[in-house]
Amino acid sequence: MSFVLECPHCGVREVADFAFGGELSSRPSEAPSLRELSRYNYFRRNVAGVQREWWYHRSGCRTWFQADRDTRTNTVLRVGLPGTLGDAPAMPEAGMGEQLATPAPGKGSAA
Amino acid sequence: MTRLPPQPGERLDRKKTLSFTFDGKPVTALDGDTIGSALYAAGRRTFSRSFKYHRRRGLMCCAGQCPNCMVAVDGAPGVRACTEPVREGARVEHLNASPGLELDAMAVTDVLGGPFTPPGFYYKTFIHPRRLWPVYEWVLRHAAGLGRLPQGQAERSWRTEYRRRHADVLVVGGGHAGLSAALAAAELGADVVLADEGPEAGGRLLWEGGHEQARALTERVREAGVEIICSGAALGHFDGLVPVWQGSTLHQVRASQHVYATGAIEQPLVFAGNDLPGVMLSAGARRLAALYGVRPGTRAVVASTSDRGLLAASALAELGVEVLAVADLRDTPTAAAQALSARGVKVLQGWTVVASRGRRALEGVVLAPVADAQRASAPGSIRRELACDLLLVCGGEAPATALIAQAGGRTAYDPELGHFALSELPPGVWAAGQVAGEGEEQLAAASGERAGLQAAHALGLGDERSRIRSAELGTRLGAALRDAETPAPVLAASAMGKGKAFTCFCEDVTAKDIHRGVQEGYDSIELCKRFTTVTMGPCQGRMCQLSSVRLMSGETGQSLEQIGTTTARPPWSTVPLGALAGRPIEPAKRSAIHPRHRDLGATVKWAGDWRRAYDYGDPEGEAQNVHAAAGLIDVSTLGKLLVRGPQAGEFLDRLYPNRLSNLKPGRVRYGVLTSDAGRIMDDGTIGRIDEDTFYVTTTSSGAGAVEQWFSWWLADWKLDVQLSDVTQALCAVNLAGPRAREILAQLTDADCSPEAFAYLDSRQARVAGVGALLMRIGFVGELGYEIHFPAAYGEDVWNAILLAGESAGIRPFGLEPQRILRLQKQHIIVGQDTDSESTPFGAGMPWAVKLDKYEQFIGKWALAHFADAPAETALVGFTVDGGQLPTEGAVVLDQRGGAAGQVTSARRSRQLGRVIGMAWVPSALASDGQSITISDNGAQLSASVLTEPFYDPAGELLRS
Amino acid sequence: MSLAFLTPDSTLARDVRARSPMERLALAAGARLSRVEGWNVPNAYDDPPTERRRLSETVGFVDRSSLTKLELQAAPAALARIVAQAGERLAAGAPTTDQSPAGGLALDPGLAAYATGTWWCPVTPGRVLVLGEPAAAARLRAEIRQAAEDAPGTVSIVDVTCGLTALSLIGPHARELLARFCAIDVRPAVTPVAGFRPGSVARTPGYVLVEAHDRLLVLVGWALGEYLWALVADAAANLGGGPVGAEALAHHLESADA
Repeated sequence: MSFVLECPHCGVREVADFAFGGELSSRPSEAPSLRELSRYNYFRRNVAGVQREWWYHRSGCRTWFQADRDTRTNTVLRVGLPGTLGDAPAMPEAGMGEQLATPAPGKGSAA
Repeated sequence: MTRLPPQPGERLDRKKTLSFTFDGKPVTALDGDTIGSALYAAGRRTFSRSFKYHRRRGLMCCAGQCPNCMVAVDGAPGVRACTEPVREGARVEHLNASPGLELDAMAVTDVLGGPFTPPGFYYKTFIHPRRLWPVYEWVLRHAAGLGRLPQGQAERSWRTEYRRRHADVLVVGGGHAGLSAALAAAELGADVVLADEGPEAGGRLLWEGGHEQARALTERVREAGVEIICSGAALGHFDGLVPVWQGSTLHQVRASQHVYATGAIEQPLVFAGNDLPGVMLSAGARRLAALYGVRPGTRAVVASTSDRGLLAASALAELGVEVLAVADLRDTPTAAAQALSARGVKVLQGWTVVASRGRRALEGVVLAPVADAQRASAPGSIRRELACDLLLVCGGEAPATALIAQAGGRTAYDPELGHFALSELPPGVWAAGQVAGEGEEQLAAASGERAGLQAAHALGLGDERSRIRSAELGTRLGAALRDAETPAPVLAASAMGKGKAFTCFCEDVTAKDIHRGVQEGYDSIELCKRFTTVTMGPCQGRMCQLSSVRLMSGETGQSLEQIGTTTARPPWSTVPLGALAGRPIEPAKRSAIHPRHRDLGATVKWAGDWRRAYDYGDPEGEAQNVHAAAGLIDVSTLGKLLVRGPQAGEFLDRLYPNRLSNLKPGRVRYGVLTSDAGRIMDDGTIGRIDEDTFYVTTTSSGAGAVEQWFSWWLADWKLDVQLSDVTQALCAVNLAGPRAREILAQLTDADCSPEAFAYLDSRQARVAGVGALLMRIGFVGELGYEIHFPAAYGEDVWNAILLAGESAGIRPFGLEPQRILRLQKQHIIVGQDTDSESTPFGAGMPWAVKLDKYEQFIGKWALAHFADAPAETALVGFTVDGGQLPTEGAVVLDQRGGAAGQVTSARRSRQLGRVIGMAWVPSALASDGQSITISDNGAQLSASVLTEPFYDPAGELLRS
Repeated sequence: MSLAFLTPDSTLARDVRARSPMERLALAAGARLSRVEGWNVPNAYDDPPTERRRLSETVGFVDRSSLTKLELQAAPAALARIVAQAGERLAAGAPTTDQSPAGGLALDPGLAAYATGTWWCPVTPGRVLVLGEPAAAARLRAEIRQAAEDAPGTVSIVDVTCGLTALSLIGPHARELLARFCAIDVRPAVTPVAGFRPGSVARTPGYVLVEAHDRLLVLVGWALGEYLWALVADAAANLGGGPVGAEALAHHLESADA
């Protein structure tokens, strides 16, 4: 991987400048069930396609931002500070991803 | 002498000679020679012994593409003699032959070879008995190979310079098309870099009579401001980053647009003995003659599938080489064939070469009609045997698409052209010249110019005129391609009679090996590649990709489209690993006090990305001295964060499982940081400097991750908080021991009395005249002060404290004694005593979790769950009953003798006179006095559990 | 309480020196140190004519770790106001010969502003790195504090003088030298004079500031001082360059002005 990424503040830099923060997920707003908690902590959609994810310009301005990236080609469609990118990208295989993210019965325990 | 009279385009300065040695014997060269041309001129025909069969191999491509001329130069193996310029005094040696190139004992494998050494033979044959594999392996490894690497760092005498080059356009390949592309883009204002493998740009023009044109064009390109990197091999296309290796420099070129004008690679023909020295690619012979004035042979035969070989025959005849016959695979004579006939050269239409004759070098060839050759050794077939010392072969030209494919381009088999041609280019990538099928003399310049214009236009450069020009060129190229003659497709392989017919020269893979591979069921090209290792040698498939696919097609009956090609992975050109390894200078962090540690003779080791003083020669004594008098340790590596703002307290309450908003200014509290899964991430102290300012320390290795973690949540929560990472801005030392107070008192006017400066208090005061933040914390278990001050004063403050403490018996102590001291207190080291599964409850720190304090702090939900469901294992202290020191990582057994935990830390404590440690043990055994069994490399040790500190359990000394 | 423990103090006793993290390597390269504003500064190395030649013909590198460095953080609008006001206050007391822009300073993303001996470098809209000469450090701090007094929201002023070690790369090969250890694009068309670029420098977080067409200032973490020196010295030597002291630099800047 040696694609470039555009930091909203600093501009284009090598991807090695950044830390990857994973795909966006939302933290439960109130006490979750154990199953919900496990899903939040351990399960990811892992789509083959465009996903919205967190990036941190670790070697530069030390700002967390978000990027819509195609995980198959590493093409970054857009970047922006949290809350500025609008609707999350339509994930072409979201249904599939959702299905995979559902833990199989008996495997949902966090402990 | 095989030197020709001076050639018009040669690179030689005939007035100047150089000398070097080959296998110890002196060789004379002309200035401008390559090692290969000089050796060939001196009469050498065998340049190497092959990888597996130790067959003689000689110059074939003369372009640094095939593996045949690899030698070691001044100890560095894998150098291609045919492109490596002669340096005065160079020490050149052959590879992979013993005792020598001319007499190679291992050549016996060639005689025995055939039936006994098919692919997979070694692994199938030498597998029993398994214990003897190391012996077999040693023997086999010595039999095969491509030379030896020099042992040890000291022998790596060369250095590689790394150079980043940003550019608007990178042109790879400096032939007619590449030069034209670079010129067109540069003239529209683009910042252009051009990289070419050869020592000068110009490509084919240089040896096909266009050298003056090539050199004039190169000059124009240079004048247009293009940076030309010669002898620069593009190693790969990594998401737009193209490393170009140029001997001592690795250029890392990041361009917005890429023009690949990488040309095409002339293909060998597959026939029995197609590797004998004297069998040469047609362009190889032309390069040798035109660039280095070397006569490639005296009596030549040519076998070709296209006009390229016929033109080479003409060129040879021009030089006075006797051309006995030209076997043209095609049935109908082209203009080039007619021209040869007119010269009196015998052209056999519809013929090809089926075998070579000769032992040490080529002595003759066998030609046969194509239709006949396909029936192999059918009786009564027509054969014509000719005595000659040179056979030029040309099996067509395969576009060098590897880099474009790495960039995301696609190829498809074009049955009309008989090779895999580009079918799709990714955005920002342009192809020009032969690689795009637009390589013929009149097309290359137009093709290049158009690609250069397109690249510039994609950058937003250019104008109406340039756009019209680009369109015109497109029309012209399209028309020319429609009119172009189509070359005849090449046969899979010609005769399959006696003798080895190689598809892969690097790894000695024969046509028969492909046949066997398919028979064994490896009938897809990717599988067959892995089974036979075809295309996996140093030529990266340049010589064998097309022929192996054709052979596969013949074996499986599948079309070439169906078979497809293997992927040529980076590096596209041979490169020493050392050139990719980076500078031998590591980004080491050093405390500002570090020079003093070196002065004091410290043992310095890596700790994360820091260089740290592990001890000053006597770790146990240093630890002991902290108990007896006082010690001073450099803890500048601690992560240090300022958290400021009216909501700083709330922010920390949300991040830590304990409460920090109620911390009073001037006080310090321990905190363990957990993830939302309730697992320990880091730990440290949090001091409140004033109402709105907290000073957070982290572990040395966790500093970056904690800063990142804090920033991340701040980005989400958007509280009125500002973070500052001051890790490196401040030095920190820990002055500890019973006499710490009196030493500190000499250096500061702050009131150091226990009442005024109590345990877990923080104060700001001058120490040795330097403004400092002091915190009373006790990681090592004695009265201690952590002193934080500007890093610029590191050395001087350190010196001042040691000087002030001299009479009290102060000694510096390192990281290792600190580990002994903290273990006596059972203070955990995150990452040493905990792993990614550890929770504060398991680690014996339930007091660090305040579940009732804040609704939704990080880790709350998981921790609430863990609080109700006790962990299976717990972290406890232990003393070893017999006094043996267990290995860290040794296994703790449960009552039934199964593995149930592990030792995380163990040290001999001189202070306690015991071996102590910490271990994860089953919860049932996690109480004082329980006996545990530790299994350590076969030995069983018995130990007793202690859950409270071994030293000063009540913490009276800390608080004193 | 303040964050005084972060601020180097030039009024200290004579036996305590502020030292650059590169000091030992500078000494090993033949540096002669002098005390300036409480700092040990390499005044010259073994051969001043060679040093001057490096600056004009190849490339020299100068340890500038003693630069005062302040990190200002506030809400973007408040920060812009503080910078403008502090700039004005500093200009008001500046000698008239100084070519400072009249009125307040405005910061554009990616471009630092230079006035009265101080560089104002925007890292983000909410964070500015201020670089000043050590001699003017106290005044700089005071004016910024004054300007921040009535700003809304949380204003954080943190002295990071000792958080960042600094080297100036000066000479015709300055960009070429940077390219040997840094992937940031500093071609003039992309990064003009005053361009300020946070990003990875020598495989570690850092900043690059284009001070002039032939002068690049690089900053990385203080603890990486010896590493940076070793790396730059190695790369510079290959380009015919080497370390340069304060004397040769002053000479070079004077002749550049003239």
